[in-house]
Amino acid sequence: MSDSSKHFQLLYNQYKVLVYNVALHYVQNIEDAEEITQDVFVQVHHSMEKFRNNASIKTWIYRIAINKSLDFIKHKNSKKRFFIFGSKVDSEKELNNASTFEHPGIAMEQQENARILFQVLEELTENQRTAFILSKLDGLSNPEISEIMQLSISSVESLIFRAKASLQEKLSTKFAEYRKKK
Amino acid sequence: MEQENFIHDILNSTTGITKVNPDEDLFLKIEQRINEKPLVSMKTLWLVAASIIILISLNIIVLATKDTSLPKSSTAELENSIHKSNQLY
Repeated sequence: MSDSSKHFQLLYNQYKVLVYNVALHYVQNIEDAEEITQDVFVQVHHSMEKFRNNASIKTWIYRIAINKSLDFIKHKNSKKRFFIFGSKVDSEKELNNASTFEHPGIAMEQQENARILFQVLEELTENQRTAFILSKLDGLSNPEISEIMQLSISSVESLIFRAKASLQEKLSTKFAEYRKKK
Repeated sequence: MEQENFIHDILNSTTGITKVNPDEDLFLKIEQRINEKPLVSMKTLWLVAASIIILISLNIIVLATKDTSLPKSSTAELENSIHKSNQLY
């Protein structure tokens, strides 16, 4: 095994959980998260030589994982928009999958609430969603998020604040629906 | 109050979330994708690109020299004479 292969395997072992979980938070689907993880590490492998230590390797991998996840979602949404006849069944299947997805890292009694949270998260803007995921789900500090998102710390604080406000607003609407069902 | 509790419960539903490990075969799949050879070789790709550039250049050259090198056709001469004879003043 060559030195670069060994180095790549080390990188994979060190960051596979990070990448996979970021992807899972964005797409809430195990197969899609695995596909994104593959894309991320293929890109890491191709760009390993170009990578210079201007940023930490963890920040660099985070950025790739976020961009690949967002690209994946955009691609999937555009496919949904242009579906013709035959693929309708696939879209319905995906819709059902999204509404029944159980995050393997969340306690059983919280699954129902977490599902609602992931549903409303999808309605946030890309930046608000990223800031919220990194802060709330990945547990990163604001300076770490600002480095990954290449924004100032105050911008990150504002993004998280607006994300929470927007989520509260959307959840109020959900509450009305929830009450009607009851 | 009930609404506040509902929102609070949902926003805090991911508290204590644990990291999930990907499938063990994932590294093998990644290695396979890295070692996959591209469907078209780079040499073929460059050859096609060069051919297209040559074709476009030839077309531009032909179009640029067409106006000056071609003699006036008989139709064009006839058209000129009609224009002159139809002069109203």
